[in-house]
Amino acid sequence: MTAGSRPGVLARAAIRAEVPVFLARGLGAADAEARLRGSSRLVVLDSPRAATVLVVAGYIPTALAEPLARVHDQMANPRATVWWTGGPTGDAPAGWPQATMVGPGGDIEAAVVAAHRDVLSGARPSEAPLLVDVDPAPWRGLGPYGHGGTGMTGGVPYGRPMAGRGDDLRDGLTLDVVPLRIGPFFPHLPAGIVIEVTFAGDVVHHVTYVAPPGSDGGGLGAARADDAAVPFLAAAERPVPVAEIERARARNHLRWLARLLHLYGLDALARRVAKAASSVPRDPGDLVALARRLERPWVLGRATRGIGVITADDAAVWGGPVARAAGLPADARTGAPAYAALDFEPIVHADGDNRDRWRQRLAETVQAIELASRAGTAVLAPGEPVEPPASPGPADVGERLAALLVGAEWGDALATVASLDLDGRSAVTTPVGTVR
Amino acid sequence: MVALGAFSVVLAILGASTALVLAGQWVAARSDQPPTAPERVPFAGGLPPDVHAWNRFHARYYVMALLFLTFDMEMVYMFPWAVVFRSEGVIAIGEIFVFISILALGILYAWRERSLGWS
Repeated sequence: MTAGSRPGVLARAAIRAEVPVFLARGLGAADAEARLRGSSRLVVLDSPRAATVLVVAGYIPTALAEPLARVHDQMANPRATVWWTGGPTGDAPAGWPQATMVGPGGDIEAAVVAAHRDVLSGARPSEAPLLVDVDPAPWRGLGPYGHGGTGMTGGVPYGRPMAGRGDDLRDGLTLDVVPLRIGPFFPHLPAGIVIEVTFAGDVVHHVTYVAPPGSDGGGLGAARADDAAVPFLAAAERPVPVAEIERARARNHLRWLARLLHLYGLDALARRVAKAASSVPRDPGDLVALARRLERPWVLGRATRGIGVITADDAAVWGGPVARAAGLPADARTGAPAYAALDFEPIVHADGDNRDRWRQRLAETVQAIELASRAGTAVLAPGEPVEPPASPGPADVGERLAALLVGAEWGDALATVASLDLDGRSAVTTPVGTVR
Repeated sequence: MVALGAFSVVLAILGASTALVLAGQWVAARSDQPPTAPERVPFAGGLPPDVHAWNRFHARYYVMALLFLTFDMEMVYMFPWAVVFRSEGVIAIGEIFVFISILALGILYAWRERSLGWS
């Protein structure tokens, strides 16, 4: 279609439909997914293949630039990119000449809808591939059958080795194990994280965790201020109202819950929860009803029970809601004078599995809304201990994740990673989250 | 033609589906932008695959598949029974219940041995 010509019937229908978006979360964009998912005009997809618009949120370190370009190229034509940055918008990032820039105060939804409309109507050309067209594993034509090497499974057809064999974790029948590197823009993993997983069928056989790269002085975009993290970061320096802290906690938990519900395929509920996260309700009644609904065995009750168990002995190093879900009543609010006046009692659960972790965060959301409504003008003084919304997590998170995931089916493994809220953890602990 | 007329709907669906497939291939072939190498890579979060996904997969449902085949074959014995049970009367009913009860014991045994669980 040429610029200026009237779009056809199919293009007009596609323009009016929900905009298929793929979100590439950089660092300092823990809130981005819930914000996009709460929009009724967008649908956030799990793969770039069917997306029209790529939204890049937050800061992209230099090490993630090439994977991001690959995600861009994996979108089908026509395609457009919108950068959602926390810094000055100015020119498009280097290497992304056609991208639209949206700053902290910009309307991301309107920018995405406009990019979708323009690229489908032909007013804006589809973006060209960013990576060079070179096959990373070309056909080599080696070996007696041209299969790339020698042996039935020892060859390297197309320059890539075949899957090797590994011990079986279940019934001892040794078959092939397939190593895959997943991330750093895989939508069901925390932003920037790569996990090298070896699969035996659908079961996780081995896991290596690669932490997200930090700020390297270069990179593209900028971390965005997260309104669910800012009060917690600010509490070290200035007095912050308890109500503000607790509403930020509820917002963080609701965003986390929206991600989890989407992971379990409960998209309608996920959208409702994401909307609730953007304007935290004053009355927790709907959330109590939601908790009852999620408890039903066929909704979340059975699927999350007994999965990703963290015992009380291990829970202490995880801290926060993860530890409380395993039965440890560790909570910095217990000793704070501002909370003593509100008769604060930490909520705990007992089993430490995925089910107890979503129960824990949902119960803490209801509790946070009630605390915020009763807190009045109570203020947390600078230097007073503040309980972050996400567990700080252990220093050896990679080893502990591997221990949790090995032997689990892939869906359960992803749900277990999601249940630990590593995105929320990075929002309140890493330097990229400190942009205010 | 009479015989063909009975299959006209089937032929029409076959023709339409073939035309759709050919039309899809024609549209794809007309594209002036064939996919580049990075565009062809399967999505795994932005990193290219290192090995082939061509591997031997353990079909762990094979026990369930065998049980299904066993019970499927037993239906073969029920067809002749269904033809004669009216003329044979109550005895035929009793016999088929004995037959099905033995099968049910087999199912209960498989259940006890945890053969029906997906592991």
